[in-house]
Amino acid sequence: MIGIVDTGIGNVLSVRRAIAAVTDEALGPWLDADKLVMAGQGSFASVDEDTKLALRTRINDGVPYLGICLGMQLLYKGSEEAPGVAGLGLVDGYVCKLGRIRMGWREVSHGRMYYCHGYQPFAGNAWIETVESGNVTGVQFHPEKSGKNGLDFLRRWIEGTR
Amino acid sequence: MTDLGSKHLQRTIARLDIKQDNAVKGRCMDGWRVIGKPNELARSYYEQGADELLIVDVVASLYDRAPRWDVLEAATDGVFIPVTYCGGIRSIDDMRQAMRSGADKVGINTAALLRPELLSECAAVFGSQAVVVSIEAKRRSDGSYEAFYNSGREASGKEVGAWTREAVARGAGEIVVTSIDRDGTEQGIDNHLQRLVTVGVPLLFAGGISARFPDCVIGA
Repeated sequence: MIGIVDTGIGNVLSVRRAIAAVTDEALGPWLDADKLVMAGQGSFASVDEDTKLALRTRINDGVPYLGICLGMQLLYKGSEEAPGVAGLGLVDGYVCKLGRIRMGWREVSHGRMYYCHGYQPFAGNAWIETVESGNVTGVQFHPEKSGKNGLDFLRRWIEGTR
Repeated sequence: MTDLGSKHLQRTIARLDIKQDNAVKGRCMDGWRVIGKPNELARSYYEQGADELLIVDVVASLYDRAPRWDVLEAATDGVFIPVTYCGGIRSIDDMRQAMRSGADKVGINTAALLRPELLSECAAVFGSQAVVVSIEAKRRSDGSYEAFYNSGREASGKEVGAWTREAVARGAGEIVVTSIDRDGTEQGIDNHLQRLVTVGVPLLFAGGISARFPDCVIGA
């Protein structure tokens, strides 16, 4: 069962529909799911402490996690978008403000993908587009809104975690 | 509709105006005629390769009623490109509901002109990248431009350039500008207006554009 982490904020329906379009696996409550997906389109401060605590526990238990946009940024220890608000700190780096909001399509290794963000993880002197660490995957682009390329990416992630 | 903000990320955005549960097409923000069902058109724009979809409920603010969440949810089904929804958004709860109905970004015009703090409040919760200020611009006789609301019916008294900068300072991360004078006329972009609203954030420009989609927007 796949669970979408729902904080009440974010484009949750878009993510739900994209996942439903590429798999027959059931979607259900994220606290019981054996795969976790977290949507973007929320501010770094919009995720409450209880959610972060539960998320950290589930990820530490080895549940595969896909973080999209904010869902990826939350893996870092903090963000310039909300100084003083702690992230999960599961990967090295910090989320920094871009010079200009990036809105549009870019060609990346997974194909042409849609981006919509004003902040991005920065580590080791470089902006981070995607991160993989153990059972954790993070992408700054929006696979749920990147047409066929994005749907293919989601299908591969789901199949790769079986 | 075309995106003019950043050259390297130019987008072609299909615009879908809705009234009740129909897709409509107007001229100078009036005389809307029915052109089809929202979901059929939205899916067709997606399949034709639109980069984004802009859905505007053209009468929600005008009639002072809540957005038609059911129409938005139906329209966005099977559309795997970003959807910006505008029309009748008055609060953080409205913005949350729009995203729960299939939107990825939300545009505000009338409520932001009446209470500009709404832009900052929404940006604090959703991030500026999800908050779009929608501006309906009409040329005055002296050559300046004024921001209108309630589907181009009411004059706000605010000059468009100043309002654009204020909205961005308050947290709007993207601008959708509709030229009321050129809407539905295919006369081309109003270049003077375009320069006025180019302030370094992503910009969508509607009104007067004739392109691949019935109501194309240029964006960057």
